[in-house]
Amino acid sequence: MSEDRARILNMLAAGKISAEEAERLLDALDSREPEKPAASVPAGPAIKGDPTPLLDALPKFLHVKVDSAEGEKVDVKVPLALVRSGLKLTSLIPSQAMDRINEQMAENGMSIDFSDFKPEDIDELIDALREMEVNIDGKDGEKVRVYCE
Amino acid sequence: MFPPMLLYLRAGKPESQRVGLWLPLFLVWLILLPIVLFVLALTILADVVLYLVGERYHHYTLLLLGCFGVLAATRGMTVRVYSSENVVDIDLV
Repeated sequence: MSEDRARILNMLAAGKISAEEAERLLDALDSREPEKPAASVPAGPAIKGDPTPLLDALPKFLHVKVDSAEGEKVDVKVPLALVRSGLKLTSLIPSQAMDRINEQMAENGMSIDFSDFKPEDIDELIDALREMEVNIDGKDGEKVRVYCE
Repeated sequence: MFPPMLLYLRAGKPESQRVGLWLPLFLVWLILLPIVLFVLALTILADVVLYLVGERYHHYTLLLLGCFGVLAATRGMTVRVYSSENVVDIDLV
């Protein structure tokens, strides 16, 4: 199995893409291979050209889905551009204000130094979020799912 | 990159038809535009003065533009809450 096919099937298994989107991506991959003679004329793929840019594209949204045991559902979709803009903003905050922010964060148990974030690391951070998936199943039947796509 | 232009709010009961409301955020931005331009002029002036004085930090204009970028990045955010009593959908377009 090729690496691209395996990646598409893993994304489908993880629920990051639907069955229709997986079929379109697989069709596009097949269209890259040399054509074989067929008895009937096959339909063209929904996506023409090389789908590699689609597969390698940075995730765009952070999804948070909560299903409670009582049937309540919460679904929040946050653009990752917000994370990118927020991190770029931290590099512009005056040093005195940044020191106070870091102190407050440390007092609340989060010892993250935002002044260490560099804008060039943002794409690497967001790309790393592509593989992040958090699934929590509570004992009372509540479910929490956090993922990026 | 532009800030969200519309806020779509839909609320109601699960068993009944939901009421949708489009809020034209672009009108709010148009009203705030003169104030933002005034603040921008002040920050540019402050940055120039601080630079001439020799202060190390003179990036208040970039900070203001960064805040604008954060606001623009909220486009595409959606919040959906479904319960047995209420259903609420919020979209920033």
